[in-house]
Formats: sequence, C-alpha cells, structure tokens
Amino acid sequence: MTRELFILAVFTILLFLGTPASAQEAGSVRWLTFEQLEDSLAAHPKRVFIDFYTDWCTYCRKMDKRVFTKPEVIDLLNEDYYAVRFDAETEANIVFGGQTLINDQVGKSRSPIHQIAQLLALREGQFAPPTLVILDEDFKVTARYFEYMDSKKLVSALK
Amino acid sequence: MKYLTILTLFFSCLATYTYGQTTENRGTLSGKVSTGDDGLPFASIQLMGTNIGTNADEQGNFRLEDVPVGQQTLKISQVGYQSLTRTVEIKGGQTTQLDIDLNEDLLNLEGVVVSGTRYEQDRVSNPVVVGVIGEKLFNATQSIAISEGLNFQPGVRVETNCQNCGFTQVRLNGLEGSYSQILINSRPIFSALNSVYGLDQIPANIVERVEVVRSGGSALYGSNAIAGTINIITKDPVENTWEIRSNTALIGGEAVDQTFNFNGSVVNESLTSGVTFYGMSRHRDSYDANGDGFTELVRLENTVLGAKAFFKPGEDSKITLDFSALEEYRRGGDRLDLAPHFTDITEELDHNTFIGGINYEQWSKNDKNKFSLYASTQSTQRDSYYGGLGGGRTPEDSTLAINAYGLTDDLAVVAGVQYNHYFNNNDVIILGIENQYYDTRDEIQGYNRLIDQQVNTTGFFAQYEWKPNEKFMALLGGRYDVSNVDGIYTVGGINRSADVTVGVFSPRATLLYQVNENLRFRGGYARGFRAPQAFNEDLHISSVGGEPLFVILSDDLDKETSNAFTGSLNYTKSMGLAQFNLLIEGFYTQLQNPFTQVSTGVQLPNGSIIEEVRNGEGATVSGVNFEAGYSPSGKFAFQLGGTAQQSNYSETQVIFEPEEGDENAITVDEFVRNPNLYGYFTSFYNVTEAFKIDLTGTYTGSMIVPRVVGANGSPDLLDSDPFFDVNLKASYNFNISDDLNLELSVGFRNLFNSFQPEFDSGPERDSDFIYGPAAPRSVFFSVKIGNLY
Repeated sequence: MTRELFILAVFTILLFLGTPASAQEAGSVRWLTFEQLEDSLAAHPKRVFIDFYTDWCTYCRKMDKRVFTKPEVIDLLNEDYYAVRFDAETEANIVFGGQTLINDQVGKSRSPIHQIAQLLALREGQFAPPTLVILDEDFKVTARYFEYMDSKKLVSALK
Repeated sequence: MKYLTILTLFFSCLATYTYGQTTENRGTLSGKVSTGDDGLPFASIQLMGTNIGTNADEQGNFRLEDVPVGQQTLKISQVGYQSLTRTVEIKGGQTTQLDIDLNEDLLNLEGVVVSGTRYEQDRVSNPVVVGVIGEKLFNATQSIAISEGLNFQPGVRVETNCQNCGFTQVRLNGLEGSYSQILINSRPIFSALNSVYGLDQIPANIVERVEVVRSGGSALYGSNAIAGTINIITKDPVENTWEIRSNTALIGGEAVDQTFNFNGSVVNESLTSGVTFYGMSRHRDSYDANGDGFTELVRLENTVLGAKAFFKPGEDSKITLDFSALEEYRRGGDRLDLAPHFTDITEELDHNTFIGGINYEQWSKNDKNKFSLYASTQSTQRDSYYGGLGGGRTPEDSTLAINAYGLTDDLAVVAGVQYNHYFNNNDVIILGIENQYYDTRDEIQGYNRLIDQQVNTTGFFAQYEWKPNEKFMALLGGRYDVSNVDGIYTVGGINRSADVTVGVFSPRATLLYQVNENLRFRGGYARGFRAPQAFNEDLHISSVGGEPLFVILSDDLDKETSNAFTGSLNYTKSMGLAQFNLLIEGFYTQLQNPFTQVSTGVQLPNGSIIEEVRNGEGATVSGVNFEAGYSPSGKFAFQLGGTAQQSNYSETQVIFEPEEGDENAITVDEFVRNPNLYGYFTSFYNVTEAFKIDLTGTYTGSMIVPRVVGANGSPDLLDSDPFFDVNLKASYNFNISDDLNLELSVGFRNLFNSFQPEFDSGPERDSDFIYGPAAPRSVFFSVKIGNLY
C-alpha cells in the first residue's frame, strides 16, 4: 500500500516541481557593476541599491529566484535606483571613487570578504548574507537590512 | 532573590581569585569620550553582559562606580559615530582611567535599520558539548539508514545484536541503547519498541543533522537520558528544491541492496509557508556469511513517506507539522521463501509505523517571550514471528512453531508547553511541563507470552541560562518527574506485574568558561533515573539452541538512578585558511541498581529459555572522549575521534545463575559487548570543484562477547579481535544546467572486509553471537539528480 503511494508521490512531486513558475515577462533587474555605477552616478545621480551575496547563501539564491523576479521589484529597482549585485567573496580588484578596492582576505580566510563589503556590509564586524544596502544620491547609507526580504518588505523599503 | 545575590557573590569571589586581587571586588572607571580634539557629549557607555552603564556629560566625561573587578568589556556608542568596544582591567578599590576617541560614521552605517533573523550564521557558544553529524557525513559514508552513519561521533557506537532479525542499538559512552533518549525533532516519541529496529527504518536523506549530547546535560529532556540524547532533526525547507537518488550496493559479493530516494521542498516567496516531502524505497537481500543456510544479515523491504510543513500565521508565530509513514518488512533465519513455521528459525517482522507531530510557537511583540505548545505521536502495528522448528521435527515442535506468530501494538503520545523569557542582559529562563505516555502490548499466544505495559510520565522542568559576563555562562536547572508504570509480563507459566509510581527530582548544571579566544572549558553534572519497565531488549526474542530466549522483569524491581559528571576542554584555532580543533572530554557515570539481564538457567516446559532483568550491582562508566580535526584549506579536511573507557561493576556481576547443583555461576567484572577503545576518522579531498573523494572509517577495539554454548543458556566469554571498517567514496558532479545537476558516485563500504570471522551455524546457533561491523565489504554505485549542488 505504502509502496504504491510512494510511486504516486514521486510522480506528483516531479510534476509539481517540473511546472515552470507562472511566466513573468516584466524583464529583469538591470544589475550594474561598481565601475558602471560610478559612471552612472556621475552622469545622473540616483539612489543606489546594493545586494551583497555569496554563492553558498541559500537565502540569497531564494531572493534571486523569487524576489528579484517580481515585476513590482524590477520596476522599482530599474526606475528609481541603480541596482548593484555584488559577490562579497569576489577576488576581483574594483576601482571605485578613484581607489582600487581589493579582497585582502583571499588566502587568509575561508570566506574572504571583499573590502567593499567590509566597508558597507558588516554588522558588528560580521558578514551574514544576504545584506541589502540602500544609499541616497550622495552615496550615503540610508538603510541596511541583514536578512531575507520578500517582495512586499523590499518594495516598502525601496519606496 | 537571595540566591541570586549569593550566586553573584560567588562569581565575584571567583573573579577575584582568578585575577589575584585581594583588596575589594569593586572598582571605578572614569574617562572622557572625544572625537578628534573635541569632547563628545552624551555618548553611551555600557558594560557588556550587565546592566551597568552610563552616559557621558556635555564635555564627554563619564564615571562608572561599583564595577566588578577583572577584565570588563565596554561598548561606547553615539548616533552618527562608529561604535567601539574596549576591554579594560578594573582593579579593586582603584579608579581606572580610559579615554576614548570615536570616529564619525561617514557612511552612516550605524544609525540605520538593523534587523536580522533569517540569515546564514554559524552556531552560537553553548555550555553543553553538542556533537553534530551532518548530511555531509551521511553522504560521505553512503549511509542509507541513520544507523549506518551514527558511529562518527566520539562515544557513539551502533551495534548489531541479532543475526535473525538485525536488531541494532546505539551505545553512548558504552551504555546500552535504553540509557539514551532518541528524539525526533526534539520530541521523545521513539518508544522502547521503536528502538529495537527504528534506527534502520529512518532514511538518512530526510535528516538535516543528528545532534548528539553525551551525558544528560540539559534539564529539558527526560530523566532516562542517562547516557545522553540523540536528536534527529529533519530538513527544514527554504528553497524550492528536488532531488532523486538511486543507490545500488552489492554486499559480500552476492546480496543486492537497492534504494530509491527522493526529497523535494516548496516554499513561498515570503517564507511564511513551505513543505518538504521525502521518501525512500529499499530492498535488501539477506546475506549468509558462513554458508550454513542461516542469515547473518536479514532481508529488508522498507518504504518511507513523509513530509514536514510550516506555516506562519503572523510575524510572531509559527506552526510546524510533520508526519512520516514507515512500512518495513524484515526476515531472517533459514529458507526465507517458506512460511515461517516450516523453517528451523525465522524471525519475521512487519512494521507499520506512523509518526506525527504539531508544534506551535508564539513570540511576544518585543521578542522577549516565547511560548510553545506541542504534541507528537507515534503508533506502530507489528506482526511478528519469532520461532521455528529449531532443528526438531516432532509434532510438539510443529505445534510450537505454528503458534509463534505474534502481534504488537505500540503507542507513544508526548505533549507539552514551554515558556522562554529572554532578559535584557541576555539571560534566559525556560519553564515547562511535559507529559509522555507509552502503551505497548506485545502478545504471542503460542508461548503464552504477553507484555502489556503503560508508562506515563509527567515532568516539570526549569532551566536558567546565566551569562554574568562574556567569558562565563551556566545552565542551571532541574526537572521533577512522576512516572507511573503499570505492566503485566507473562511467559509460559511465569507471571510478573508492575504497578509503581516514582517521583524523582533530577538537578542538572553545566557551565562554560571561555579561557581565551581559542580555549573553552566546560563542566557538568546530571542526575537521572529509569523507572522499572520493559525496554528494547525485553521486546526482542533471540534464539538459542533452537529454542526462543525471553527476557522478563523480575519481581520487586526497583528504580535505577545515576550520577553523571563531565568536564571538557575545547581548543579551536584558525590560522589563515587552516583550521584546527581539539576536544578532550572526561566522563564519569555512576549507576545505582542498574537493570541487568541475568540468565537463570530456567527452562519452561516447552524448552524456552528465560533471562531475568534484576537490579544488578552498582557500576561505574568512566573514560575520555576525544576529537581532533585539521583542515589546511577548504579542499581537504581530516578528523579523528574516539573513546577510551572503562565500564566496571562495583562488585562481580552474575550473568548466568544456574539452578542449584547444576553448574557454576558465570560472572563478569566489566560490561560485555563493549570495547574499551573505539573511534572513527573522516576525511575528504576536493580534487576539483566537481570531483570529490571521501575516506572514512571506524575502529572497534577488543571486547568481551558472550556466546551461549550450554543447552540451558550458559555462555562462554570470548575476547573479540579488533575491527577496522573503512569506507571509500568517489563522486563526480555534472553541472548540466543552472537548474540541473547530476552526481555519480562509486565506492566501497568496509573496504578491507573487516567482519566477524566466525559465526555460530545451524538451527541451534546463538543468534545474539554477532558483533563488530554491521556488514562485510560492499561495493556501491549511486546516481543523484537534483536542481541544487
């Protein structure tokens, strides 16, 4: 009896998971790099949203797949903000504001935090992704969130 | 309040002693907060871990009196400036001067919204040593059921107890299975009956982690957790995931073990509801090591289906629901294709188990209070056959064999309420009431055998988590349990019954002292007790000399009590990419009136052999658990752990007591079936991101093993040889697309075929004469498909 149920359950779940999420054709968030951000800010100042993530962070993946795909989030980020997605563990050197920022923890730590993240995304000295930072036109931080935010929360934070 | 003062005084004395101050135990701290050359007005100065604090005046000057002596950590903060923490030494009766310079917070990082609950973080420091066996380890050892992966923690050893039915139990610090409490999602619904075969029935793929606490450290869990608790925590969903796995193994070159697994989870975007599904279907052939036609490994057919769901009605509340349906068929003995009563020995069990639970949590608006309400249940119906012709072919043998079919009904219900209050200074108090009810009825009419037992335990518990400063933390608590056992135990013409109520108070205390950044000291004391009742082994029937062997409780069995002490040192250090950890833990457990099985030499008219559970001599179990790990980088890690212990009866313990004038009694000084040295190692090497090699193994030292030789059940005591059971696994991951991964793995379990060299043979064998690794060498091949790597 349980065996038949088992087989039934496998197929039901496969079907369920295999169905693509209801198609959303609102495009996607236009993510910028820090270099692009600098040029954009110089040309036309706007508020800035930065998503600090790492590739091992479950909640970050969830935000990518479920939150940054919502039309209202995409619209807000594309229209009112420059949106930056930044891997906090990247090893790349980044030139920003006339300075070269590097990941000085590479080879020293298992989860090396890039200087940009050290500057903007630490909370009591710790980095715990996802960290979401909102800055004003003068690049001054107005809010930081150290947790997963669903689209409702994110929209109200962005407004 | 009086007690609190005393405690504070006690701690102050401790601090005084530690820092060699003899004058007074209070000092004064004063100083000035400035930014650049200017005084900074109104900054807040807080002594971390206490309520002591003040604000600077308009010029930035501050003064704090009555500060406890010793190292104190201060937090200085002001809106618009970057907060600072400083550690200062306060001397008794003196004023310590401290000037602080705060930097302006140019990026405005401090003054903004700070929240955080759902983020990725490591564990927090805990005064109880919690050993964790994670999903990774179950994967590395290619464990199908939980029982196959538990050996990889110090002090934990899973042993196989029967060739006819594959009864396994887990020993903690050398104490038998019934001294530990197995929890599923923190609830004690694993009944005596479940602990006979249950560890084989729970698939490893539903487990997020197994938490092992040696020696009952926390007052939150039941008093019968004398040796410790093993908490099986099933997966909590976050992402939308799915995974299907197939594992094929060939055991000893002949027996096929085929398993299919799946799990998947769906969680909504706001993380307010979600569900995880899981399932397993397993078929394992029986295995006969010595070619006598009788099994050493039983045939298994196991199907599991379950789910765990959560729902958050509001921001501050959460409801969790879980259920599992387990169906397991196992059979061992000889001629497995015949009806059991035509064979010489058959042990055949068909389990239908349902486990379910509901949990409700409510937080207060300010997050200072948490209230939880929970109820869990487990129900099992079991058809059993323990018997057979036993080598004989007389009409009496046939009559006995055909009447050896049995029926078991088992029910466990656990319900409780718990209240947590979080104080401003980070202390926590927990209060709760829990009721546990177990009802077991196991009947085999042919043997006139009946166990009909109801155990009800009501427990009241309280625990205070005390954190007077950053370095010291203590868990102080206790529980009061009222246990009522109402049981009828019958075999043949022997009738026993129990109707006892015992009330016992069990205090618990553990403390943590952070000597420095790298070194932690922990110590603990726990009292525990077990009310007289039938445990796992009493529900299992072995076979000896072609006759069934029953265990029955003796009359006037008294409760068993224990005192357990532990102390440990834990050293952890990271040097750049390299990580090193070392744990050394001493344990000392005293048992008073331990329940002990004594073979009485009594045979029933139908030939059955009887063992009796009596209050044995006192016993002491003591030793050292150790664990050392080194990992030079994320690519490679090595961990070694183990236990060196002694388990001695305080006076010589009789395990075989013949009827008068028959034979001499057989006695032991130490526990049987328990090695004095055992351990494990685990290692992995990530050759590339996709290619990974795992090498793991366990060591089982020499031990005393009883082997029944006499027709009346008298045993010989043998010294076993040590075993070294090594597993090797290589796996490769193909990243087919963003949403699809395929992993192939191959390997060996018990690579060097370290297995019991000699078994009893034929219908009259002693079925309990089995020890060492659970299975001979097997080769496996596994395929895993899923959307996550």
